[in-house]
Amino acid sequence: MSWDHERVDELLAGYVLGGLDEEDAALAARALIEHVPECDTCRRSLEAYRLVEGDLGLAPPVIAAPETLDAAVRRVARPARRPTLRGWGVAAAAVAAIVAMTGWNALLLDRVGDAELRQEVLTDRLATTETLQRWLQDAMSSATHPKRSVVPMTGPGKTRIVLLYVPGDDRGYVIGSDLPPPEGSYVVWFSRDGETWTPGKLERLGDVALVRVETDPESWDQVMITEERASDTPTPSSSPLVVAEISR
Amino acid sequence: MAETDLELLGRVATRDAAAFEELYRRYAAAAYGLAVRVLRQPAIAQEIVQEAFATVWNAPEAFDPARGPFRTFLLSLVHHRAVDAVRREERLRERERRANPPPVPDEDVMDVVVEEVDLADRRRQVREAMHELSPAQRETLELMYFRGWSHARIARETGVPIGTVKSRIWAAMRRLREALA
Repeated sequence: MSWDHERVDELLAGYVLGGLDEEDAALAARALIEHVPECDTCRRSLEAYRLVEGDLGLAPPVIAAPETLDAAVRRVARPARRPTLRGWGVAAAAVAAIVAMTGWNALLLDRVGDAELRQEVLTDRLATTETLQRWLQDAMSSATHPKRSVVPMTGPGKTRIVLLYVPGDDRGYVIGSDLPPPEGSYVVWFSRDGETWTPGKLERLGDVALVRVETDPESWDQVMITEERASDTPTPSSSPLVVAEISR
Repeated sequence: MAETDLELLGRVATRDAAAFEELYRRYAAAAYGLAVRVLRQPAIAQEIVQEAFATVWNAPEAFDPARGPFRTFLLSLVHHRAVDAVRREERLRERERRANPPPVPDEDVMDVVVEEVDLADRRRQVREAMHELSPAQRETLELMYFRGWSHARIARETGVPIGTVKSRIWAAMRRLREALA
């Protein structure tokens, strides 16, 4: 797909404000994966719009934080205590978590009758979603890094997946869009000289799916994705759906 | 001489609670003001600000100094969370929308808050830049930024064609980008 800079610029302006509707959001996600990392103009635009979005937060009047907030934030930094979310925060965050995870990993909460177990499920989902949001933020940061390396992974249909990393960092991301729901899970594998290692399965967050890769990608020869029905498969059990060579 | 935000964040990365509290002291009023402006419910705004600062404490490496100052990172974090919350809240309360939302704290409260000089300067620049937008651009931008409305919802609620809404948002963002560069 060829990208028009003006169109991408307009999408990015709406994207940083979180105001895109479904169709434009999907298009923006694709642009962020397929075009922006390689386009200096659009990458600069994205950075500039992000600064505007942050600075707009200065427009409202400042309000002295209440003592209850002061105390709550101080508790966050006490290492002996684990921060907790209570009341509305748990309910709202849990709803967001379930919405975000609906699809591949959906767990129908109404099947979980026990209140304590239900709370544990919600808490787990919340933790997973927060992790994925941190991953996506870090991945987008890598995507705009001047030394970034992007390895496109070719696959069937409209599937778009890339391995994204900054050479020298011991981490990277496999991130994709337009992936059809799998039978089981999409599992990422790295290989070299007959040895394989997996960072795990692709996790869905909104319109994209990603997994953090805790390794130096350039220490491997190939990256690939298989569809696995069983969890914790030690080696790929089927032919790769997508594969790419990693050059150093 | 006061430590920079970056220096404080370096200490936060080593689990220095005092550095974390100093960052909170610097930005709590701005973050809380933004959250209240979006959510219009002080109790929920407190939760959002607490979560944002918890993110700073738990993952200080999420802030990349190459991509702008800490204030924009933090306020962006608060804004995203506040908009997500207000959208969730709207869905949850769709059937029983309150006729009279709780009053937003009066702007007089700002008199009791003493800001860092550079933060106050930047605030003035942002407000001036907003003032330079056309009324239509400013109103459309505020509906998206502060109320969390999408292009389609703004079009639906205001009766303005969606193409015009998109153009206004884009034009507003471009003008702000130039004014605040």
